Amino acid sequence: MAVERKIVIITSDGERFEVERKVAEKSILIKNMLKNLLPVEGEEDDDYDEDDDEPIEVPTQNVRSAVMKNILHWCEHYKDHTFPDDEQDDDSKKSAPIDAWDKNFLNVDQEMLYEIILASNYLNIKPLLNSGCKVVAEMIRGKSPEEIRKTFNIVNDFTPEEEVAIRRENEWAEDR
Amino acid sequence: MVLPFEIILRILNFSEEATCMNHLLICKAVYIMLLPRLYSSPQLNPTNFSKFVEVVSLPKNKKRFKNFVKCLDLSFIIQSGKNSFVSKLLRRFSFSLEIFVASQTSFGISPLISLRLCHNLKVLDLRLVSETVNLRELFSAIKAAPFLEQLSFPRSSITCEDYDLEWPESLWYLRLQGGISNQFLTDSHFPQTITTLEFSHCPNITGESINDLLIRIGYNLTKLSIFYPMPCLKGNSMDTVFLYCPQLTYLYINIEYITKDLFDEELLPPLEEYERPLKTLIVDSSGLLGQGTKIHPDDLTIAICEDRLPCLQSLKVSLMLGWDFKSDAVQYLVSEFDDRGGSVYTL
Repeated sequence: MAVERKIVIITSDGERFEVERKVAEKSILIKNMLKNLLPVEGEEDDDYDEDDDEPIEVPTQNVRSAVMKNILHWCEHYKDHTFPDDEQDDDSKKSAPIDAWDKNFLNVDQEMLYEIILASNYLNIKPLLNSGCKVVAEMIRGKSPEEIRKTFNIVNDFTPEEEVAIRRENEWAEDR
Repeated sequence: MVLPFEIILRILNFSEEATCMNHLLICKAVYIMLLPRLYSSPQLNPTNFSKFVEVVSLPKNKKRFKNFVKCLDLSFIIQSGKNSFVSKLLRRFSFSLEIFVASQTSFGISPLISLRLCHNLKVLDLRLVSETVNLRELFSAIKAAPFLEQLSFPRSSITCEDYDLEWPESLWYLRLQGGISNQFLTDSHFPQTITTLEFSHCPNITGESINDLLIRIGYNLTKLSIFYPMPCLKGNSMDTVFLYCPQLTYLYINIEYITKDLFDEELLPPLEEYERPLKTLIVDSSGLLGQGTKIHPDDLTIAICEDRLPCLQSLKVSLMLGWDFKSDAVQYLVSEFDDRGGSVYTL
């Protein structure tokens, strides 16, 4: 029986993280990558090469090591958990509260939170991306447009006249 | 650090009020993305209705909002509606409208005619309408909506002379209300696609014509509700419902129209080909005196013990039935449900 090969994730700043396959496969990006490189677990590997003992290296150019450490911590926590299909309807996903563990896990400074969101988007880890987005959604709840812009680092491109016009036009939606 | 736009939208989608004013005013790109959502299902009430009509009626907005509104729910509009407003809204959103819930008033002939333009309608709910509706006009509107799946008749009087009406092909939900006649039930060709049927506020309908209809389409029904008041039904009119509708999973019935015979072996026989799928049974009561004695808990317990309702999981009975929930008979029924993992509730 072939020994399960280790996966080594190499971050943008060159740090190497050795992880189990199922931890790495929480990232759909890596999972798909490995699908092409490795036989499916349990299946016989016919063409056994000598370098099959070598760990597989997965470069992730967009993620720095401090962020990857966090991401892998999350993947490790959920390695035996199967998430429901992403295709489920949006409403139930929207109304579900943030998982308590995720909430504590994402209790980091805004810079790191954004980096985790970006990395989970890049690595295609939907449950983590959703939790991250929910945390930010809570941060902006009830905030003024100016405060939200600050949170997102967006520049206001409305003229004062346009703002007044939008407020007037959609006034009906505020009367509820 | 700036998040990509798609992620900002994702975040806004996760907030409770994605389309609130504070979000619209973030920046132009966000505004453009959120605007169709704000208008796709506008939350209208008596205070904001006229403002909404005003905005969408402006000539400059004619094209802008054309394809935005998918669901127009006017059920909260009580007196502020006008026939011309409703008609105008229907015409303006005719291309995109999929769900229309009419208000109690202001549904006269002109909105009915405007409805004909709404070709993509899937749900037409007129259950609140208390103005007289011409059935022929209604059906010409329906004819123009080939995708209609759900239809609720108005509860008002209905004028109708002939019954050779064309039903939509994919209709599965039908709520019959108001002044429909017995002849309408017996003569109209109801489609076999209907799986959910409701009756409510039908002053003219007799048990014979409902049963006649159930003989024709009852086999396909999975949900049937007969609400109080249906003054022409007799005390035992609906006793045969299980015979005609063997595939029901849900039955809502009022004690006024059934007797203990409903659970009798003759009218509720075990099915040969499959287990009777009835999962939920609701027995309501109008609270009139003497109704409580019509059905004894034992009548139901026997049917369950004899395995004639093998899938029944949930029984809801009205408190006004007058059953003594501490009595042995009810306790026995409850324990029967407990044994099979179901429950008994009171309404």
